[in-house]
Amino acid sequence: MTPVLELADVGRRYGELRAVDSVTLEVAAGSRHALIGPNGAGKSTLFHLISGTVRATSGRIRFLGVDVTRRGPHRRTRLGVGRTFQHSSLFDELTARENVAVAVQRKLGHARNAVLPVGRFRDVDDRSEELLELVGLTGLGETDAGSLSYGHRRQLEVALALATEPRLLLLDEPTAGMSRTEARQFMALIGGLPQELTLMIVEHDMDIVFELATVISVLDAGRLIATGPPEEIRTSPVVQEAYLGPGDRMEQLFTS
Amino acid sequence: MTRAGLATRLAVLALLVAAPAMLDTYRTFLLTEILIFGLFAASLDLLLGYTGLPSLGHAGYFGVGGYAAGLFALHVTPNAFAQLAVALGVAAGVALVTGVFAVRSRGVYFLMLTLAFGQLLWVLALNWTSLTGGSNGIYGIPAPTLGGSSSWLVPSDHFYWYTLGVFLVGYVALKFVVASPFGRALAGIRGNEERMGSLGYSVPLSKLAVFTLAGAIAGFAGALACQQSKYFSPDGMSFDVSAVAVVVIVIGGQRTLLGAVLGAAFYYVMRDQLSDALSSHWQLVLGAVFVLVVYLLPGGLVSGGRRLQRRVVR
Repeated sequence: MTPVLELADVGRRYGELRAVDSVTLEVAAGSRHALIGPNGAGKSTLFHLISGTVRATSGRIRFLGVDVTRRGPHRRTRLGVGRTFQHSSLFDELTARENVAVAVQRKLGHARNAVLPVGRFRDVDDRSEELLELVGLTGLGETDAGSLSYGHRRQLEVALALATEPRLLLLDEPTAGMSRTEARQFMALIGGLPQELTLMIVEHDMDIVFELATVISVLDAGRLIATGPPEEIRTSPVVQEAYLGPGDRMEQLFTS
Repeated sequence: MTRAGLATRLAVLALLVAAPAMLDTYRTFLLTEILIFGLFAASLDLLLGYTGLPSLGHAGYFGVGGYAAGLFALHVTPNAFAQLAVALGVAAGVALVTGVFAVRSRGVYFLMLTLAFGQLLWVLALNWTSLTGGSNGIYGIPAPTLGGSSSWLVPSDHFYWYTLGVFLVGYVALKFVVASPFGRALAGIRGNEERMGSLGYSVPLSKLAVFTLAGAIAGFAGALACQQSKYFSPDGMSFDVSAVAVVVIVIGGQRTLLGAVLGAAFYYVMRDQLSDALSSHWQLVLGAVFVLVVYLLPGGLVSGGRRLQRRVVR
């Protein structure tokens, strides 16, 4: 079976800095693929390269067998790459419902209609309501996105990404800044997503990573230093060194 | 639409239709100008207010429409509707071509690029003497007709009704656009361009579409202006015209379309009342009003009106 995503020697240079350095990686359909690594390891940059918001300076990116290396973000979205942003990226002046509707109307092919009033598109309204409900924002549809709480904004982010009906969903530090309870609720939402949806997640909370992930990749200084099932990563000496320097305090990191 | 809203609209429409009966020739002429400039400003509001694209060269397309209509009248036909159609098409074409470059940018860069295109079109009108008559402009334009050689449009109240009709077509079209899914996408672009890309929107294409549409309607208004004065010169599309349109939108209230028209009315009436006494110094008063509105009434006249309405209803 073709992997959902294939990265071949993918790199991104900023002058002399190699933010992402020759990463080769396959993401299997339906997997929960976590990306971990110290700060500045290039995790977010790699996400940008996959979603197309930053162009790779070297290598090839294939999505569902299609070479998307030179394609812009909107074309990748149409192929099925969905993403949330590290810092919630919403339409603050619009209501939560309108936020979702912006995404839904495009997916349903109405975005070019400049003649009929939005109220005529019941399919957009219904689907938007469904998505709000799915992410747990029922009843908050009329609230401006700008006045939603931090956790609710993250949930709305997911609704927007899901509205594009992605095959691959990239979650960039989805629980950063959330309270413990918020994070747990949020992960329940993520855990409940359909199995056929492939997930990639950048996350600092190791509890969450080990609970959710079926595969973990470790980045360090732009390089991919390990990929494998969670147990393997947990005990990998290479990973240990990247995180903590030479030493044996790995247990502390993962159990704290 | 509520019943009260519908009733208000019908009343306003009735008033507008009956206006020539209540106004003298001069004031009818003034009201015609207001409708024309109001439509032009409303087309800019589509960019500035709804899409968040601050254009400072919008008068360029107004001018393209004005010249297109005028030249078509001089050389081809006095038929008013044919001139409108040509103006609409040519302005849309010019907006499309310049828009290809402009929509790649945003914010202050968009501002500078549109300013440059506006100035470019103005210089073109000034220097392409064989076509535009240079700084003298084009004159001796025959009065527009509604077909044949009828002179029905000659009296100023008749021309006013014609303008009102054309204005309503343009204004209602804009109303439909902003209430549509495309209008919602424009709000998305205003709010967060990057996010629109990752939702699958081709942002440059949407921006090009709205830029072309706004340019086309500006050209429509330009054609009316030319038909009204039977004359068009580079002054009609100078930087001042673009800037006044922005001022008018801010005073009237952006992102309402109605605000653009009210702002135009405010501008023309104020100029009419003050320019005799103060000559060109009247613009100082305009500047002061502008500052006051920005500080005291951020939503412009429209929001002030709504606040007043709420207070009265309560």
